[in-house]
Amino acid sequence: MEDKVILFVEDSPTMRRIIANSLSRIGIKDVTEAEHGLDALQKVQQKDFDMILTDWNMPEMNGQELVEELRKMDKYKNVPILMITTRGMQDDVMTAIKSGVNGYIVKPFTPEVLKKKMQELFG
Amino acid sequence: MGDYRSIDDVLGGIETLRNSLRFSDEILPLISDLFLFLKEIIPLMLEANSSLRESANKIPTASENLNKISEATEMAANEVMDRLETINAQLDELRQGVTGQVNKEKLTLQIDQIQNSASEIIFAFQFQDITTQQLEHVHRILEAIHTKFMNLMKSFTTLRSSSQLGQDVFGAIDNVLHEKLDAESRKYFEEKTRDIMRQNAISQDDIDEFFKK
Repeated sequence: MEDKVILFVEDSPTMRRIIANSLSRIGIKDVTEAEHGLDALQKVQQKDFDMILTDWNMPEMNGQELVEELRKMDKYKNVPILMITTRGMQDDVMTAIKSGVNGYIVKPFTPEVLKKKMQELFG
Repeated sequence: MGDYRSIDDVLGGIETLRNSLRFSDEILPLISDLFLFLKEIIPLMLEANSSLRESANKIPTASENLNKISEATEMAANEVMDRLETINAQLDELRQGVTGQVNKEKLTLQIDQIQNSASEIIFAFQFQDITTQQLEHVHRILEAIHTKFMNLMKSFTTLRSSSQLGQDVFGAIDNVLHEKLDAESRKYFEEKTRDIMRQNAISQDDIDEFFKK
């Protein structure tokens, strides 16, 4: 998993630091950050990613819209997308699945949960 | 009196009454004014009723969110303090290991444990993102309630100034409200709604300046 290229999309600077720290602890070196969905769409044009981690509630373009946009792109039809969000209702999870996410984590989460979920998605 | 089931029934009844009676020239304009006034105020009262009901329903959600924020910050603070205490204890063990006979394997394990505790502290700060979103939700609820009431106030003000009857009726309502809201209940409301925390109202430098005078 250490050689994977990851994009994570998160509007909260605190959460960006937390996730960056966690990915670094897992040993992943190639990590790109985006502040919201639109920013992420620009980043995916510039670089290829093996996995995308995204928050849901974000300005400009939210995580659900981002996933829908990514799934329209040939290049990102099958790339694993993990949603990390405060939205923990069953309806939210169903909506996210319909949009095309492969995994879903509700905040607050532990580094172990993140690592385990990423391993699952990489198979 | 007829069986009035809706506002339209009431207005229709008044209209019928007006048409069926022969009033002198002085009374007719008053009745017309009253009719127009009722026609304007009834939808407003319905809107006020619905706004109050909606607001009352939303306030517990906002209040619940504020409670969650309080719980989340408390949990995170405890988590951070627990981990820091653990780190302190682990550092004590590490010091003993370094000063005594050095067992490299054990030292590495202790360093790993300290790193894990530090990582858990970092993760505990997720509360900042979670509480920010809960506060945003409370803010949106309060803003929606505020807008609703401002629109209502605007409509009532327009209605008040639209006719002499409107001015008289609202003047009378004001008088009744002033009597009802006695000094004690006004004081209670003001005390409960006063800003408890007026942050950044004054800087530390400004405070220090006061002591120099």
